[in-house]
Amino acid sequence: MQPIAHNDNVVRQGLGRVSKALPDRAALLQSLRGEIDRLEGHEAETVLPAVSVPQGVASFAVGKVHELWARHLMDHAACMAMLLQAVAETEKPVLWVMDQMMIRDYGLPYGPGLLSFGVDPARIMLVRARKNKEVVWALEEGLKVSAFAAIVGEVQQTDLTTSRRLSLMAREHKSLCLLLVRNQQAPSSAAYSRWQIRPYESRKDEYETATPGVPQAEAQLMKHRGGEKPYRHILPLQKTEEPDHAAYPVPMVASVAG
Amino acid sequence: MRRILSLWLPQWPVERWRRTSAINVKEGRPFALTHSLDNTQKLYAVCPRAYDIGLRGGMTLAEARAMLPDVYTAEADREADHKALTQLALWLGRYSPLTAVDGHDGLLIDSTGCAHLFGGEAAMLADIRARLARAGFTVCLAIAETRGAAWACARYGEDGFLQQGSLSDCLSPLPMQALRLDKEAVLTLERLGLKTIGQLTAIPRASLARRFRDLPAKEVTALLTRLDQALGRKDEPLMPLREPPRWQVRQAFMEPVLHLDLLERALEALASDLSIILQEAEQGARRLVLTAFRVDGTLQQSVVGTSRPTHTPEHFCRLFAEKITGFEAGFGFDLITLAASETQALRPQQVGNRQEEDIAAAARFLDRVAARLGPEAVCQISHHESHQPEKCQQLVPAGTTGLAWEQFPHGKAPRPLRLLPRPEGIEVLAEVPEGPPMRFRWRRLSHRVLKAAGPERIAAEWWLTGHQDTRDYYQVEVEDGARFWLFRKGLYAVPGVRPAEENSPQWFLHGFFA
Repeated sequence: MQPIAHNDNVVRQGLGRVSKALPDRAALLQSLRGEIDRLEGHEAETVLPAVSVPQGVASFAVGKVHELWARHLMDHAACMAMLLQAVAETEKPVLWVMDQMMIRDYGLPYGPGLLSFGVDPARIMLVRARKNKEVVWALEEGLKVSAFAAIVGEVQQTDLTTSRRLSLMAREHKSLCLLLVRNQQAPSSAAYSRWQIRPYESRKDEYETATPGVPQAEAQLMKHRGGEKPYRHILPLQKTEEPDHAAYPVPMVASVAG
Repeated sequence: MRRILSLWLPQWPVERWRRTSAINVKEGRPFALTHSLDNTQKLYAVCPRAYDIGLRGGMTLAEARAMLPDVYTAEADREADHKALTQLALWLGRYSPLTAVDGHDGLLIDSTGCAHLFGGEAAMLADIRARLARAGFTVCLAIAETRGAAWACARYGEDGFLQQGSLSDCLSPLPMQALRLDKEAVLTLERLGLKTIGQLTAIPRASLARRFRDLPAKEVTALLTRLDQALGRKDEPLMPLREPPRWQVRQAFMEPVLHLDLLERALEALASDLSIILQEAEQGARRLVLTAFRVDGTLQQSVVGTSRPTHTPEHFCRLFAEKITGFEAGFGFDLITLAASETQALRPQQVGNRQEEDIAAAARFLDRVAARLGPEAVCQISHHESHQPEKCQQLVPAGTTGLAWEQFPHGKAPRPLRLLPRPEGIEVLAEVPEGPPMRFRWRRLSHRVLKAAGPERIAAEWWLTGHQDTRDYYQVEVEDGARFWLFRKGLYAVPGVRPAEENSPQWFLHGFFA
């Protein structure tokens, strides 16, 4: 039998050997990955803090492209909130690129809302492109500038080429690219990680059951190039502060006298 | 001493028509342009051949046809003539920055101090004549100290006249029409036996005014003014088509440039030249104009703005790189100029300041985005003093400082993260009086409301005129967790308190919460 191509990964002696060799290979791959990273001048990043960080706030490694995938129309705002949480820590401006269609369908970021979310609206540099091609161009150019905390792109779809280009650009200039993808189908892409975000029922307030409480979202890690296992998490979308105005039931009498 | 160059294009409408029209009229065939005046077709301009036969501008078409049945006629377009003349005046900017349109068939150039660049006045005139001849235009030229004298010499003197001696010497043999007087005045003067300007200047000025006492005062003043202007006793300003830019560099080419990459290379050289003169003056450019003059007498222009004053040549080049691809070389460019039409003081700066460099890099990036996507594409969210949610935020061009967000009145009232550009109507499926709907349909999906907070009543400011409905805003959470900002426009009727309004209340969706 003539092999079609020489592939070192395939052990052709027998199937039984393959399953035995697997654990070694995973370790080998990991070490090779580390070596490539070192050769390319990047220290291997120990990812991903999402699980280890208390409260489970997703964090995004710099120098990569991360996708936040809004599958449905209603997921868009939750995605955006997740994204804002990632950039709320820094003081640098955020480049926000969107096209006219996204503005028409999903609106613009709203200043007073951003303010109450803890993000200064003046930090947001909005670029309104006419079509998707211009969005991608603006993103690529924006990634070359180190002045931005993050480059945010709202897109309908991405493809492998585009996301690969963005990934290379982000890696080269050590900038952070966050894509807010609004699509029914999971796009094929070369992004470092993909999160599917869905709004989740808000946390119940003990005394106010009829009104929305602390908003929550369900974040699902769909894929991760750093090797993180997919998982699902319910995250609060607001810093939970102790309500100072709430009345607590205080027992007036410790116990009924016997 | 001023030097004014006057160009007269005696056959401008005819030649322009020949140049732009798709119809090719044979060289030998008599040709005339017509226009309708007083309900008759009259000749507007005639070609030299038709002129020789006896056709004149102002004749009726019927008369012309009677004289010359096979005359070819076409409709004149005076507006296009004027537009083309303005274009030509702009193109003449290659000789001097001060050019102007003079009447409907003439142009003026203030060539003071410019002629030596082209090898003297005679060489400059020859150059203009050659270039216009190649484009198919007949031109009469003259250079004199005053506008009036140049005008007179171009039209009534010998072609290509260069004033050397005194003004009165060169004007004296010219006929009275050369003074730019109206027909009646010329006729009156001729009746008095005054045929040339020399005869008029021979009369002492004081007695001239006295002699024409019986003429209307307006005419006498017009005559004297024109005479004074021609003789340089009275100043006659030339209104240039545009202000000459203060910071401008230029590059002329020996051969017309047909390829844009050559133009780009020339632009690089120009950008570094401009950068040097700006740096010397401690100025930074805010607006740059690149003008490319084409061989065929038209020009192409592109303007870019910068958000911060800058004099980095690489940045200039990159800004124009987005624009230059749209240039059409046609038969080639033979001159390009780069000007900083708007500048701002820019002191030398300390290098190595990381933070400053970051800001500058961001500004440079935004300039390029603006150059490619249009200046309104880049904006920032600014706060505007209004209670109405959609007016509360404004998009302002990046770099401008709007009302700061620190001044925004913080309240406990919830505000959404995103706001739709205009509220979208929703279909309420289950209505509750004085409360948010139980079920509603938005964009073809129906939602069941689980939790709601509100209402927050927001009305337009009282000083705004026109009846605007108050809105009751609710924050609602629907079944799968999405949170919306709904509002009801108009109020429900309350028995005994408020009568029903004309239009029943309508529901809208306005924003999205996290």
